[in-house]
Amino acid sequence: MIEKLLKVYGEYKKKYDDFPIVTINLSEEDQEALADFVQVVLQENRQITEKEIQEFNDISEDIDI
Amino acid sequence: MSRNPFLERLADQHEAQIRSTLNNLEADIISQIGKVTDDSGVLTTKISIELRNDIRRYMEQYRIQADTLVRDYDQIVNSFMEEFGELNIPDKFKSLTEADLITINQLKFQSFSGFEDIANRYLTEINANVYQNAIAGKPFNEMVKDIRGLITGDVDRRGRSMSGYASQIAHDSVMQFDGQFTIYKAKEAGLDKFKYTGTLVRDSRDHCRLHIGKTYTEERIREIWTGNWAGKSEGDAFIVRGGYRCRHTWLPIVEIKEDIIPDEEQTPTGIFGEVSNAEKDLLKQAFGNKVTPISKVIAILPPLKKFQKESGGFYRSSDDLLNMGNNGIDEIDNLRTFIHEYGHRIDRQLGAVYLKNKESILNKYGKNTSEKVINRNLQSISHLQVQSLIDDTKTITKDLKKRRELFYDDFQKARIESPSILKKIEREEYYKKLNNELNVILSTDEIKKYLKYNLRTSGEEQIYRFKLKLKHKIFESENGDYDLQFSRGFNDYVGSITKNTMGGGHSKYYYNKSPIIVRDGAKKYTHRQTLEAFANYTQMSFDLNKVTPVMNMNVREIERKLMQYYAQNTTNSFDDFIKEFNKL
Repeated sequence: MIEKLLKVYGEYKKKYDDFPIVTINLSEEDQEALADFVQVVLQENRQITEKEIQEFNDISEDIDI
Repeated sequence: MSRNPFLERLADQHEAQIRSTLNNLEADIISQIGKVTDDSGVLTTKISIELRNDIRRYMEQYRIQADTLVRDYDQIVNSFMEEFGELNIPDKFKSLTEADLITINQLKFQSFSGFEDIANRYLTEINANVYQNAIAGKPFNEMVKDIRGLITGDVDRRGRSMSGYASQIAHDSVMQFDGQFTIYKAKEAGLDKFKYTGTLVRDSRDHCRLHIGKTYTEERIREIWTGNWAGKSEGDAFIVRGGYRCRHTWLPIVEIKEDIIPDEEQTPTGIFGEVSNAEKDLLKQAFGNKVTPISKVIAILPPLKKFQKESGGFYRSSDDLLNMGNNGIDEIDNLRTFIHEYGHRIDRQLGAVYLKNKESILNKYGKNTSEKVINRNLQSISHLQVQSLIDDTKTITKDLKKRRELFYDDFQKARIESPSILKKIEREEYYKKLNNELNVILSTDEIKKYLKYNLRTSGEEQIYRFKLKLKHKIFESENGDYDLQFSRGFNDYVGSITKNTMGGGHSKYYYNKSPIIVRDGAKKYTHRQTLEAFANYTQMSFDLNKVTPVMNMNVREIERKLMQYYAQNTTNSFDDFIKEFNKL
């Protein structure tokens, strides 16, 4: 995991117990985008929504990551 | 420490040592000139000639230091042989022969000659300078200025100082000795492919930036190195690499050839049954070329319908799509994802059979499965063993907080009593003693190998830390974070069983976003927990365990012990699946 994501990942998890997006297999580019996004979410003091999770992970029920 | 960072550190140390020696040399010469100048601060020509013996004597300090540095090159040989020993090459090349020792001595002598040439050149220059200054009747402070300019270059002077040359030679000799020994040993073992390795820094040459991380044949390297680039130095590509002060090295690469598989293991095509073209070669690369329980179970599955290699890996059961992804750090990593996703496929495909004919599957994979679980009608075989996950979670999370505290207490106690980090040797000895006294499920050698596999430092202190984790059966992380001393697969395995109370990989959200198989008190065990546990089990049990193309390191047996130790019930249940696969 890239340093930038690791930082906000830890911060988010500390605050909300779980980091809902599966980061396994995310490309560095996606990790970079995710880190920027989580930064904004943290600033807005809110949790990541289902729709937002879906943008990073397709987690339809028949998909196994 | 792996070879490249070690070489960089040694080169820096040698450079600093030679600079310090030359500072002392300069001080000694100036002090001696000060002693023999007359009251007016002028040196006679007669004394300047007599001074030559003293200067030659002082220059011996430099020669002794150069000799010490060159003797240090044995460390380079050791570091190289350690890395070379991990390669998939015949054992006879993994130790040093008498011929190797002769070559090492020749290379050392060659390196020493580089230092010696500088000593001779500057000895002549210093003597000539002192003599000319004596003839010219220059005052003492003017002579000091000249000496400083010649030796350490403290004062503006045309041309490079002795220190400038010698420090560059000290640095480059380390890297060049390594380059020469690398090509020599690689050729001896018949290897002709090399990877350009090392780290990039702000002022790395464009040439190095372009080739770093790439693998070429020796012939291609020599062809590329005929080109021109800024900072290039003339000489053999394996010795000079990017040029002066280049910090990059060549790493011999072993090709993974089909013909290394013994004849008796060669089987006609079709050990995986009817397969699609997309998966055919990948199955061989992932699971090998001989009949195993895994090849037997794959042989009863229909050919894979859809295959992708894009972005992150996944398996989609609704249309039998396997995406092995392409985000891995290399092809071995992508293959690891393929194995993980294929684990899902086996689980889901047998699950599809289960939904059509429960009895046939329950007889093999769900002999003790409760009615409650059977009635959930889920598409997998792994969920039939959910009770094992429940039992393991209970065992592993019982008194977890207390166990973590005991781990930290033990580790802190050892730290407080340990010698200072500045006393490296004593500190290693101290932790080595603690390691000898502490017996856990893995031996010290196994832990060392496992830490290397996970690209972690494997000194005595880190081994002790790992041993304490095993002693208290913990991970040094909480709530879904990785403990990097364990592999990613193992973190994920334990994380899936305990829903990240210990270990981690997939998120709690991901696990919860799937049907609940069963509730146990306040805990909900979901379908994705068993699916991920089985995929990780498959990944760890059948992964070819190649960290990099050059490190053919098999840690399967080590991980088997860890799986049994941390999650005995789940591991035994899946082992029973494998036994059933073997009967097919």
